[in-house]
Amino acid sequence: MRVLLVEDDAMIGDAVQGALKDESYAVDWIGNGIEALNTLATQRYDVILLDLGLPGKDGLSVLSSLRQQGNDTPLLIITARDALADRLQGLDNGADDYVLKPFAISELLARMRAVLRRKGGTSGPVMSNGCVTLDPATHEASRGEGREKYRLSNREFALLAALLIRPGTILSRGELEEKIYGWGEEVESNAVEFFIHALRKKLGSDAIKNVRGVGWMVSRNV
Amino acid sequence: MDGIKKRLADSVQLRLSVGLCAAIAVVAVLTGTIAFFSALDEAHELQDSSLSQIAVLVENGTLQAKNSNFISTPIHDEKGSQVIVHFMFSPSRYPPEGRDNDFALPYGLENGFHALRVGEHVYRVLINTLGPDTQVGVAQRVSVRDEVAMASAWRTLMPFLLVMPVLLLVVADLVKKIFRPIRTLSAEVNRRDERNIQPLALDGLPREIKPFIIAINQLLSRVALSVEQQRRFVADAAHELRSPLTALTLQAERLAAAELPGAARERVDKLQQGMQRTKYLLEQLLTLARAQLNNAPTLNTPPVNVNKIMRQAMEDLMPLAERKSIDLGVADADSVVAQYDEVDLFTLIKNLVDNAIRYTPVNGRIDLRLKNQGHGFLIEVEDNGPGIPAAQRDRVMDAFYRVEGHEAAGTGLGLSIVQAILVRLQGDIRLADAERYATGLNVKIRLP
Repeated sequence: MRVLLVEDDAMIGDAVQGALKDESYAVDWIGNGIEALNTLATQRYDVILLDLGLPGKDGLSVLSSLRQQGNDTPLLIITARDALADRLQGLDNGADDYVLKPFAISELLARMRAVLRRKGGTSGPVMSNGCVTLDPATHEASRGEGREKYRLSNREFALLAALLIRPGTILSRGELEEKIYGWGEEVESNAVEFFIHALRKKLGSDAIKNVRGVGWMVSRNV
Repeated sequence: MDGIKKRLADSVQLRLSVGLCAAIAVVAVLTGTIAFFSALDEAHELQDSSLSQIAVLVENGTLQAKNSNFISTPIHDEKGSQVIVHFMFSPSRYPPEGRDNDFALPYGLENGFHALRVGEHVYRVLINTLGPDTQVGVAQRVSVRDEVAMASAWRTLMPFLLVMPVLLLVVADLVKKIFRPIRTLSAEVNRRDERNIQPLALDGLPREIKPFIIAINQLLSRVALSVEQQRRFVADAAHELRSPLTALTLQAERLAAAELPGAARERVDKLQQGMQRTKYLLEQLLTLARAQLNNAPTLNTPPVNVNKIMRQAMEDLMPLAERKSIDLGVADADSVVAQYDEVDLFTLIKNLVDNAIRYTPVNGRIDLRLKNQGHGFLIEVEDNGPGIPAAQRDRVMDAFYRVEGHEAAGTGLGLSIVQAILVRLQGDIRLADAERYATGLNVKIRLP
């Protein structure tokens, strides 16, 4: 995987480059907006990490020139500007996601993987929140790597997949019912509780958390 | 006395009232006295001239000289108030004979006015010599004259006496009315809290005070500017700290990923925890600076689903709650739609709940409630933690204030952020004891 890092802060650039190399990415590091555009005119990268406050050419202008040239390389914005307007402008200009400074390498890596998955058109081989793992291909779920695998029914799978798409998101009963029943299907009362009970029996009672008065979630960052 | 002096020195209004009243009183007393005495004088002169006229009538023979008194009809219905005409004859020509009247004057007085005692009364007497050996005295009792003169003088004085108290009341009232705009203004300034540095209104103020208020307004705007600059400075400083902090955390993270001996790993862990706290403090500082910065509520924001925002805030905080095994949940929620800035509401709810999680012990419980209320809605956060003693509740909104007896898990900025947002959204906050638990804090936020 080739990564282009556009970052003018030497310490951050150095740390990110080092961390990505540790993860076996091939990283080119550029500290200037104009140079970044020049490099991108000739080289192809799998993912671009772009700082917004750049000398030479501002990050947002680099981004819009890039997209105007038809370059649709997955791109993450790294920014210290956290005002909503700035973030929206970045996404509107064609960024795939943004990471807010100060960030952790693990967060950056996770977001890079997510962006690559989305661009690749597949939802990735395995869904996981670090505790529960679900394989969409086989409908098999397990409590972590190497543990016993359980085959899930279609509805159990649909429910767990809905929760694992974005770990930490709380889904209400209504939202979960929509996920596990198709249009026109009659919703059985207590169906959500029934399937969650079944999943907990297999994966452990804390695999799916109930948030009192709101709904259910799988934990994030376990 | 000192008290009155001090009050006089303090209050222009009092000084003006007292000064005007004193001036009016002095002028009234002076003019009254002058009027009184000139009226008295005039009355006496008038009476003297009527005595003279009678004397002239006697002299040119209209009244016959004879050896008895001519007595006019009394002026008042009072005995002794008459004018007496008395003839006197030289004893050399008319030897004294038995005279039967009780009013008698000796012959030989000089012409002109005299004050003479006859019997038990004092008389004003005009003596006129009619011919050789004959004099006439026109007399009137002094007491009667004085009484008449005094009555006339008092009548002159009466209007002054009647008008003066009225004038004093009118002046006092007028002064009070003139000072009303100033009182209204000071009451308005008094009601303001320290965050309100809007200029003071100039309408309806007297021209003499306007320059003063304009000067105060200019001062206020300079203060506002400097407050704004300081807040900007905090925001900018926090912002500038982000890049170096990012670099630090990244390096620490790489260090943690490397092979390390046990002791070093422990220290790296501590280092990372410290950085985590610094990062959190930085974020809270920025949020606070931003919440305080633009004080104008954003208009024309589309209505937002408050339930959804509450859920997002909970999603953000679930990891924190899970780490402490705190049961965070919604106990009761109406569905609420409101016209507020989404980020404001999110920051508000998140900081309220964040604060509750930080100050609730492990295995605690936090309930959220959301209720529609006539105009606006109510957000309630209740925990079963230790609560905040009533005496400290006023202070917890201050930046960096932490409740005593807590080793600070938070930054001490959460409730300041809540407060800053509430100022902008014109909502209010109430801290109380938990209603449903033995101990704990109940926070109610009301938004219009």
